[in-house]
Amino acid sequence: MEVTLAAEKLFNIGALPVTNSLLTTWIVTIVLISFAILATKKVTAVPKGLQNVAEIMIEAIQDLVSSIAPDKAKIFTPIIASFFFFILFGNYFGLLPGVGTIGFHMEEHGEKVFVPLFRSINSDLNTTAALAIVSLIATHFLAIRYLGLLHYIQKFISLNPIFLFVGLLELIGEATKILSLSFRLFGNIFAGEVLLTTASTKLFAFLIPIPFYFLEILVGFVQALIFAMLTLVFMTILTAKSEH
Amino acid sequence: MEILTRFGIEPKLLLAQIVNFTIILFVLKRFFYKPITKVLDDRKKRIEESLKNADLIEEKLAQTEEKTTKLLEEASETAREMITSANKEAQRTTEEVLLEARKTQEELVADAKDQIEAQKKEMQKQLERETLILVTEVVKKVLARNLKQDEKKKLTRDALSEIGKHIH
Repeated sequence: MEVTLAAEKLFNIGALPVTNSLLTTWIVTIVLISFAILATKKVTAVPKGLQNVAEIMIEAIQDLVSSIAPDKAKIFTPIIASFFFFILFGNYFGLLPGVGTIGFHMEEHGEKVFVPLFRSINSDLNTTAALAIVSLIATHFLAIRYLGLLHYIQKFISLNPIFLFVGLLELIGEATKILSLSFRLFGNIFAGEVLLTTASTKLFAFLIPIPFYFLEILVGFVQALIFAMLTLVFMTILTAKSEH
Repeated sequence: MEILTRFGIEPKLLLAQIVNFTIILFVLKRFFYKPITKVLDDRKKRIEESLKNADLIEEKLAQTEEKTTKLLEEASETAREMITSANKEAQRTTEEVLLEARKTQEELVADAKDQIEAQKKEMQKQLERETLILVTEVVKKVLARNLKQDEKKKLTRDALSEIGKHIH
């Protein structure tokens, strides 16, 4: 049993090929939205049950955003929190037993290959790249909104040759943000999947994977936090008024 | 681009993921962050208000206490004054009444003395008269039997003057 770099295709819905990671994404989406709706079904001044959990999580993120961008916290928090929760839920869902192990055998190129039904969503570059693209689009959208179109363009294009060059570099930097954000998350989670699969198939399936699972719980949280924090920092920098 | 296919990048899947996450973002924003942040803000506001109110109440309580103490002091002061004046009044009245009583008593006693004196005089006079009559009778009776007319007259006169001397 091996973890392939690309997500395996399960079936097609019309023109859309459904991979196991896309299927898992939908499940995670349903779980996340169900949690959100359950937690806010009956919002009371005295919190009860899930509302407590939701309040703690949102307040923590709100404080974090406020400490970096105090005046824009109201706009930034929902975006940052959404990245954090989606990545965190996805990472932890990928650690559940059955994800990556329940599947079926498929004929491919005359070979019998094992195709898992579910796959940790961030171990598919499509997911992480999509997150990075959304992060970047949101950042630039907010930059235009806060600075106005003229000031936004002036950030990248200037008549001064030195600043023109700097602006050009920044443009390239924006493009590499997508790469760095997506590959960092993908690399970490994919490596974790490989590590867990190796530990439980090549080494010994009992007891030995347990420390690695704890490691992956930590990594899953840290990576979600890193992605959210980086997005927050990019947003703060790009929406700030430039000096020149 | 070959590397991207090796990583399984497919535009359709990418788009599906982008759409998916965008939906999550908007749903969570509308149904998760908005109510929770609202309740958090409301609670914060309410706690602030409650704290402010508590301060106000405490201040008011202190004011009321001060006022109560002042009122009590005033009341006790007034009560003390009233008691003192009442005591004085009572003392004065008592003295007056006593004085009056003494005066009345003295008057009464004087009256009684006068009366007794008058009665005594009256009685003395009556006794005098009665004695005179009695003596006259006795003398008449004695003299009528034994004495002569001259002696009778002389004796009567003497006796009368004697009696008169005794009486006066």
